Amino acid sequence: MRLLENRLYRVISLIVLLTVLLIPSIVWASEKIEPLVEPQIEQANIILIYGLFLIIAVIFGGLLWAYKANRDVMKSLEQKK
Amino acid sequence: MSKAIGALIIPLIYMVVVLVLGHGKWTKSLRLNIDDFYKVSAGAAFPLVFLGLAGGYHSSFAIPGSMGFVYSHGIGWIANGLWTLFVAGGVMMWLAPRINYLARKNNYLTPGDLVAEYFDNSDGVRIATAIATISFSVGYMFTNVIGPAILISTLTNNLVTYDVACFVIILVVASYVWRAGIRGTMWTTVLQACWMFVVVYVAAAYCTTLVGGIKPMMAAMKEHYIEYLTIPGPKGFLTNVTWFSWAAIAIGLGGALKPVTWSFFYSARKPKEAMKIGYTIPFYLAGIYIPVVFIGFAALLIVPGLTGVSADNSFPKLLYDYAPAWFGGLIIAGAMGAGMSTLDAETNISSCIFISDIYKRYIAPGKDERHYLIAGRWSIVVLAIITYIFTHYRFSIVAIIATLVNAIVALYAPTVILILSKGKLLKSIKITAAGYICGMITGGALLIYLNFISKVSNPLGWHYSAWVLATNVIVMLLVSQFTKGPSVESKQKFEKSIDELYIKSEPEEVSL
Repeated sequence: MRLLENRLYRVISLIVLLTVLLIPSIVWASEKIEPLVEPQIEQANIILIYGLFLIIAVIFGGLLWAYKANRDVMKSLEQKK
Repeated sequence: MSKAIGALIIPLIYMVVVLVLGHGKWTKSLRLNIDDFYKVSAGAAFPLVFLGLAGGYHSSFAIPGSMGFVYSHGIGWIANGLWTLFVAGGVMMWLAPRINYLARKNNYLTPGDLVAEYFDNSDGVRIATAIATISFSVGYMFTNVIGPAILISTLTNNLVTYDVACFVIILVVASYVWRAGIRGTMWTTVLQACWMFVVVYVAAAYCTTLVGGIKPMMAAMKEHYIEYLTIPGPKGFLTNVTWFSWAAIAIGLGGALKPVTWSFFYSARKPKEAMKIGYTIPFYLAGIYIPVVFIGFAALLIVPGLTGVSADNSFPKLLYDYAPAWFGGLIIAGAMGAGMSTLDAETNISSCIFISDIYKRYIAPGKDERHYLIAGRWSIVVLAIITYIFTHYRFSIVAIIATLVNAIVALYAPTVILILSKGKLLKSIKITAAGYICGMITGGALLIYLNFISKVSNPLGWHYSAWVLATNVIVMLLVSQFTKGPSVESKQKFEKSIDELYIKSEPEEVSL
């Protein structure tokens, strides 16, 4: 049960954070795309949307990697105690 | 105005996340003692040490200074980067496990602890090392505020002034270093290291798309700017002075053994993990330099003709003219990541050196742990104020200051290498405390002379850091021939520890 709670807590936190980060950014980006005329700028702005997802994925991946590794270290230290 | 406000949204979110990470319960700041405040005594997980050091390694010069460098001098930046990073990685692989093993065994906190112990706990050696290392760190601190602060004021069209940006950056960093020390630094730097790495790639994809893709961009470069595609670059800047004697000696050696890397070597759980830093970190760091070239070239094609400080700011200008405001905000946050991750680690180690090497031993010895912890935190406040004052001088050439402080490492690196060496040839070289101090003084005097007095900073085509290193080594070896060396017990203690490290098959037990 506790495991489930923890996972649920993480998923909810992730969704909240993604929403907080993504919505304003996407709205801002979509507003910017419309008035542009030059095709390269338009394409470049579309790339940014994908880039934003990549940025978020890498940051969360990095933090999760550190968090999990740190948790394992703490557990092994507790056991040694 | 709306574009300026738009550019501020993401940096503000970023600041909040950094504050949460730096103050969170995972930093375990309430159970701290002085040792645990400045290093993770029990040993930190590898991702924390790796990303903590990786993020802190690149100064604010990485974003946007390196793009400006490519804009001005071309692809030779890669040659420079290879020397800078892979020399550093090689030195780390060689020395980091030894530093880690000795530190965990003897409970060192600062570089001075290790060097002084070899010379029978010589006060002169400890103070000389403390002065050199603290000069390095303080010099490096304010350079890492200037870059992001300029970027913020440029991309927000001065809605947030340079002064305000400097103040906020320093305040945020000082707050979490003050509370959680090295743990706050490590956790925030995980975020910062990831952020700046990926944001540079996205920026490169964006910039190359603006000019029609990589292939058309390179074709245009070949047609209009062919001299940017080879060494020494359009201005003849990338000669031996820069890409070998500057990059390899000043930045490479300096980067590997600068004071802040010691605190991460000390915090690694075991020698093998410290060694792993050496062979992984150059790839992370070089990984940032590759997209930088594409950004620099795209900026050159889109906004040509910029010189001096404008050339350094070519990437922010490109963003301001073409990119949506929120993406400018992402880049600001990336630049803040590059600067803040270095600033926090340097603040932490500067405070550590002052408290452990000077305050605890010579100003207020014999006090309890709590006293030193409070003094350490107050020293962080003082360092933050000093940093803020220095940012008002607005040194325009951040890279020169970064090189100058990196050259300081050449004052103690040769001795560290000899102390930690295992080979018979290096072990047979006699070094003494007097030789070490005289080498440092002479090298330091030459560093000041070449930078501030002499009209020729780089004699005979070699960077001043190479001259400083050579002078230091020659004087150290000469003086050592005529002075008394460390005791046999001390030498044997180090030799035995290093031998143990390579004989042991099991990793060192983690001490709590």
